[in-house]
Amino acid sequence: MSERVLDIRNLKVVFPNELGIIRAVEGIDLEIEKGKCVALVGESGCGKSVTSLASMKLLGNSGAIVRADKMELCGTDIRELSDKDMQDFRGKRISMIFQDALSALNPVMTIGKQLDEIFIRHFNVSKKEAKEHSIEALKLVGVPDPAVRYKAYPHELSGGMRQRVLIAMAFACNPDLIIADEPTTALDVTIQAQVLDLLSDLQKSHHKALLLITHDFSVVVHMADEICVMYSGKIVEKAPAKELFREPLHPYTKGLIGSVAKMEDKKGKFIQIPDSLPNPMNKPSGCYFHPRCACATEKCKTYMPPLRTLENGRQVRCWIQEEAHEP
Amino acid sequence: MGKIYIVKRILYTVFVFAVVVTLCFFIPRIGVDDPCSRYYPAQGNMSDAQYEVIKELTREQYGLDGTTWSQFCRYISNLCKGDLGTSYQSGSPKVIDLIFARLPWTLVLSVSSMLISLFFGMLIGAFCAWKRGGWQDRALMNASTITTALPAFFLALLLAFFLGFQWEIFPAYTDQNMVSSFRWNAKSVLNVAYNAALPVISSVIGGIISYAQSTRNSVIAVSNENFIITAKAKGVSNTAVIYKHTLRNAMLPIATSLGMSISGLIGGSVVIEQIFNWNGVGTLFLEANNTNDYPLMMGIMIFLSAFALVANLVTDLCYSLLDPRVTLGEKR
Amino acid sequence: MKSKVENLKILKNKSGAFVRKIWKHRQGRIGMIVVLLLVLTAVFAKWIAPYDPYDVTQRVDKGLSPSLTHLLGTSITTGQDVFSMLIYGTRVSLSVGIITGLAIAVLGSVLGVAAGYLGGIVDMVLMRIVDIMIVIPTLPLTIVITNIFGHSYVVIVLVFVLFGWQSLSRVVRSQVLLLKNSDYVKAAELAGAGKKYIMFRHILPGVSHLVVMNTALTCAGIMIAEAGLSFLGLGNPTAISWGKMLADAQSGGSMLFGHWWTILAPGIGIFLSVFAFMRLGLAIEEILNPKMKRKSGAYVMHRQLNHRYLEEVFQSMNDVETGGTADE
Repeated sequence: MSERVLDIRNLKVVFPNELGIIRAVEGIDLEIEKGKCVALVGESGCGKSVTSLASMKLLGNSGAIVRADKMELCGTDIRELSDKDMQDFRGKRISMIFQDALSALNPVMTIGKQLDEIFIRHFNVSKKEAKEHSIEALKLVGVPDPAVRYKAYPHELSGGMRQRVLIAMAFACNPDLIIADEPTTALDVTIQAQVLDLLSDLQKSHHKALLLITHDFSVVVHMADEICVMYSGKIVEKAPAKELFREPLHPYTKGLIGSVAKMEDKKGKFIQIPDSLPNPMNKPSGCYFHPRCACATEKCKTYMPPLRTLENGRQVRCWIQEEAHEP
Repeated sequence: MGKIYIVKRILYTVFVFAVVVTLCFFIPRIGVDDPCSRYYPAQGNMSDAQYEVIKELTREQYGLDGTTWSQFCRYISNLCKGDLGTSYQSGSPKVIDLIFARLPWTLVLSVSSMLISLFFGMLIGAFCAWKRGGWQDRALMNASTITTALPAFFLALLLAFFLGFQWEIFPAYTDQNMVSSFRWNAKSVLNVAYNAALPVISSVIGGIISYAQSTRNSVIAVSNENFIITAKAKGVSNTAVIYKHTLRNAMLPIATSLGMSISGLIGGSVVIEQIFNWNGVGTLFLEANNTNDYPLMMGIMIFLSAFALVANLVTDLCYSLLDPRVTLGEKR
Repeated sequence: MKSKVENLKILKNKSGAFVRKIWKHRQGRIGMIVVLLLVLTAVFAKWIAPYDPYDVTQRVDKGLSPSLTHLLGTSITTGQDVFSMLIYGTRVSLSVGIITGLAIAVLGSVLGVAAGYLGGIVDMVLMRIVDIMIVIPTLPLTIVITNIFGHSYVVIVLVFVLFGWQSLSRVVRSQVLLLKNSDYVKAAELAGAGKKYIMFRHILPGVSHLVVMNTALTCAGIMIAEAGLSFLGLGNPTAISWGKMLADAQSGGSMLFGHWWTILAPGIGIFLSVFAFMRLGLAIEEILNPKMKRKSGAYVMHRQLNHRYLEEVFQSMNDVETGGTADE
């Protein structure tokens, strides 16, 4: 029996504002086991990042209201945890890699100082020891001349280097779970591959749980063990990575995979999803995806399909699949 | 790179100063044939030849003899020696001496106003940013819309009227013996503080609110930055996030506006000084204006410009220490 | 190419829509109403004011307290009716503010566009001038210039224009530098359009929002400066202005005699007009630049939130088994 690092049941997040209520996340289940990589895939604005921030309890100042039936981190219920206790978790048991490394690093502090902070906070070491740890951490993520780079400011490094620094920060205290929020979006394609390889290697060699958040299927292909596809605050499909690619079930997943260029695609045609995400304050009736779905029926327009588990263990939220698998 | 920039920056400052000096020299001479004409004594029953000698002596006394060009050269060479010319005031005092006699008193007002504004402004601003959206924050917002539309001299008059005349808490007119009887003892210093109270209060009210507003805005802007979330995600405590990450970055725009207010430190208090009869550079300038004392006016202008230029230079050079992204020579 | 009439029509529709937008903006509406009232007061001062303060024969005893015949009493130095002076004072403040504001808008944007678009020597010279003007202390130089050229209305307006265009042209210039590299300007250049044509047809409209935004705020700033200048006794000595009223009140001993109304009335006049123009300017800024809009705090929302409604929202997110069974 493998241990669950993250176990979230029925997570809901809303942001009330003067115009109404933004329904950011609408009841998500997420569990990650040790050593596994789970990918959360969806368009920007579908609630992926909010989910990740909520699981670190970092939504405090934003006016969000968070509800969940269960939020367990390494067996500890974090729902009622005070901010102070949560600070002990952050960085040490759970850490995060952000997408835009330039804005995610403090511009007026050397990267060394920003790394030191973690060791001083969690290991209670002296500044000198922290520096040794930091240089070690930079070496681990393949930053050349770590002792020199230790004194550099974020703007003095290249985009790829900065992302490596963020990864070094995330792995610094050997946490149980690492959340990577679009870790490669801001990078060039060649650097993207390097950073993904690094992330994947570190995750495998340290046997860590990784929650990979992205809008780009090509990123998750080689890394993820399981993929959750998210649409407008709900999970619409959940399946092991290989099976999902072999046979996507939800029309949205089909569209997303279709919009990734594939070499073997002889027809040279992308499957496109028309239109964009619904307004999170005013979502359509029935299945949220029906206005953009090519095979929507009358039923789709009125009733939200439940997330059904099929015989092979895959989960999908679609009336059409439901009927196809009906005995 | 850095050194070349500093040299360039200093040379440019000198260039701007030269232009300012030239302007200050020629502006009073526009449309005047003989700048000294109003200072000649009456001709009386002197012969024209005698009168010419008297006139020439007067011109020499004020450095107004010879062609305009030779006057200009002489002015510049004197300026290089730190001599800003001779005032038309009786006794022909040196302009620079007059300025330095008044300067400390202006600085007492403006420096204390600036420091008080900065201190309380940042304190209130940070507090309102913390309570953002709360009643304190909205109160600051409303106060700033009012104080920016309220001219400082109107506020000063109101304060002089109520605190000075009606309730007689602070003197509405500066004690004219304050300057002459000043000694470095507690009594004198307290007397200065007592007399400075109203002018300082009237310039501080607007200052506090505007610093508070800009502190609030920049603290909020910074706390929405991604690196603050990164810091929190590292498990850094809230106080450390505020002191090590938020405030340092929020200081940057405040430093810019501080630099601007330093360059206006002397010239900015003309009206306030006039209202409270404060013997500073501002009132000296107004006196010079009333007596058409052009050398004095020009001297003060040049002095103020030089002060502003040096203040700008120092601020620019210091800014790169605060923000490592600004390597000398290129701004963000 | 559109005809001139059509262009005018579009402009008219656009500005109409813009005014409506300001009207919908709460702050903007306040500003607009007050500015309108002030303009009406200035124009119809002759009929609103009970006395003509310029008429020497209508002067009475000095320093009278407010009464029914003299609503705000009489001036302590000259015996003019303070209320009438207040009404007439609107003229100087508003006209100097608006005329200077508009002149600065024209000069600042033209110079800014020229500096940004033409670049090279024009840009260098203009920006050096701006640098120099920013260093020279404004108020003292204004005093020197009025000392030499006199305190007439024209000189004062010219001085304010001379010292007012720099910040606008700087802002405009940096916007022009962005526009200059935009595709539509490049396209026009490739199509062989002349520099003048591009400047007035493509660049100027692109920076117009900045100019509009700045003008109302400039007017407000100029009105404060004018009041300050008159207060120092350096304004037009023959005109009745609020700044001069304050100066007279102070020098005449209003404070000593406790005549607070002679200080409060002109002060509030200045405050109100500056305030109105600022509201207008900030409202325009928010309309043209929605990012500026202040987000109302989330904390306030929490308290106002209807908790039952919130529960319903959360409930509605749960998966329900409707439909699935009904269809079978």
